[in-house]
Amino acid sequence: MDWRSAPDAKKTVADGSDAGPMQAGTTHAIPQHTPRLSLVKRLLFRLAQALGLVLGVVTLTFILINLAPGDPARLWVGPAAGAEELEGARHALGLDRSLWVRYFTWMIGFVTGQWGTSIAQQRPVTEVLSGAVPHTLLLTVTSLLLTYIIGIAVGSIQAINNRTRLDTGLTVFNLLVYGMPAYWLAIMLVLVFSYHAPLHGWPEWLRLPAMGVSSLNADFLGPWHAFVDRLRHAALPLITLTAIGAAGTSRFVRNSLLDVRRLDFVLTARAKGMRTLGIEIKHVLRNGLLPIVTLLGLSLPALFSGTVFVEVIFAWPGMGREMVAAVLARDYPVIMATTAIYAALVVAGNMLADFLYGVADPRTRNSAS
Amino acid sequence: MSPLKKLLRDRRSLAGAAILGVMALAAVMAPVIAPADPIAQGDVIANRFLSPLESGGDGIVHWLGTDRYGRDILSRLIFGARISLSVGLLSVTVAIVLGVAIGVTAAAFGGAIERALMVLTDVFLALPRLVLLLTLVTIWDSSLLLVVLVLGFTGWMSIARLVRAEVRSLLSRPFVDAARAGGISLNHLVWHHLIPNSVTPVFVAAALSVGNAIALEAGLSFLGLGIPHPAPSWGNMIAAGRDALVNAPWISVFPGLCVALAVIACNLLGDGARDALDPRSPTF
Repeated sequence: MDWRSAPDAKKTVADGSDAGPMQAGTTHAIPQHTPRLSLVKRLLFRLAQALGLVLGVVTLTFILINLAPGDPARLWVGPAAGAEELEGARHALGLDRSLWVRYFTWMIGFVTGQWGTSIAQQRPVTEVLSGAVPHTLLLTVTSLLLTYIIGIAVGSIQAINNRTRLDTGLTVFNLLVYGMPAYWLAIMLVLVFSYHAPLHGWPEWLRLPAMGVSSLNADFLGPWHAFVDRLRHAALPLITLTAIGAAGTSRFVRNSLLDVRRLDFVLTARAKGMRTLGIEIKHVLRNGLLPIVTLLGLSLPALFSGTVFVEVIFAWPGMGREMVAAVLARDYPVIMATTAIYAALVVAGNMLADFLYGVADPRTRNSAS
Repeated sequence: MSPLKKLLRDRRSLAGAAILGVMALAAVMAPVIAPADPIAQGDVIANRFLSPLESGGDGIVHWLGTDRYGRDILSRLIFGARISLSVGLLSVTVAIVLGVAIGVTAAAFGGAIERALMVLTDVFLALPRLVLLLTLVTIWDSSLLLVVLVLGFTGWMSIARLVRAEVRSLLSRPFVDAARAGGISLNHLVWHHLIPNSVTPVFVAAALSVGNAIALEAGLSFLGLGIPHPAPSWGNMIAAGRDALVNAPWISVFPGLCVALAVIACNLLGDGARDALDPRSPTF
């Protein structure tokens, strides 16, 4: 982008239209001006693209749901209802109109924030989800942070100790944890920390609760104890999500660092007589961690899948649990809304990854993607 | 050295292939090697919740114990392998067919067709797979075929991207120019030159996605939306053991280990294949 727009900018500056006489004709003023303009343009373009993607996902879901056999109106009124009642329900749900009319009505409502009423709960969808989204975000953001901290640390330790027993041991351990399905790991953690810990008289802090976000008596606890109570409830869900994520991340970090280590410039640094630790930190880590930024975008869908299972198992009142309940009850408005939110989060995560990559690696900043 | 020989020399891919091979053999031979009927309930009172290695009222040794209905866990695991492995393989086959078709079409035609197909790929990539899976499985009564199709139709994107990139780079190679100059048809070019030459990355991606599909199918069954009871699937076995976790943990533990083992085997095979077949590609 930049190399193409640069000559035009040069012309503008040379014309003296928006630059001072001091800078007219000089070249060093050019890069200060044009990239910013193109950055805004690119951001807007990316934003439009992201919105388009979310709309695409929502449209696809709408079509798939509406092509499905079975009559939501029949589910709504129950099997005992007569034909007249069924017709009334069809009209109330808007099912007597054509697919296109329904699609556009729904889309306009969705864009303007009218997300409809949950069929199962008889509450506005926005109300149902506004309570759930923060719980899910708390879980995902915290586990994402922990995943990266632990994953990068373990991966770096492995790369530095490449081909030692420590490295092999950690590689095998990572592969084992990475292969475990989230729902199974969650159940195993409950088995150990919620059932066995009290049975075998383990210390109090290792006896962790298996359900909900806080204890029943949470309202009567002081601020510190309430915080600890929350933390204890979050422990097992977080461990489940973080363990699997960190195992995958450290595999990636280890390989990425080892790939960079083989490159010529590392050899040059070594030939110059630079100390090993200096090379590892200044050259290998700095370049090897770059691809991890892209991992952020790639790992989000898997993280959200994991969260759905974890929320169901630990009775965590988040979006995943709401969604599974909605799916089982065929609560279409809630299903559509959760799909849209999940898609938006995934797309936003990818955009953030692209942006961070640009920040971290100036070489890619101006390449058209 | 031929790619197959290279693959067989890699210890990781050998280990992965061996694990999957044993599982596949067990699945095929299930009626012969399973010690008991996986579904029938005999004397429930005498046989239920037997711990591993205990023998029941019928004198059969239950190597991995029994569940709440007195059914042999090992037999259920062996029959469950049929479902898990076939869902994994079939859904990835669907994904490969779709992915290769879309990737090759995009790269070979270029222009507006390529752009449209890549937008479609991006939309599917942004689609929350599990959400879609749950929704579809509920509204179109769950069956093996539906699970396979849904997993396949939501799993082709990475393959399409890989194939597109590979074919685009192939199109600039001299041998393709030579073939074109020789006057071969597009059809011939696609089937005899482009597809065979882009197989390697597809194989690696496919090996990794088989593991993914197995875990997802088990997850669906775990939520009660996949393979319905009483047919054994690793996922619904894990779910069935949740109620008896304290007294009979083996009901959940073993099927979970099977899922983990299958996923690990696929990863080993995929990792080994990538290093053996394409040393240039970055290791993931």
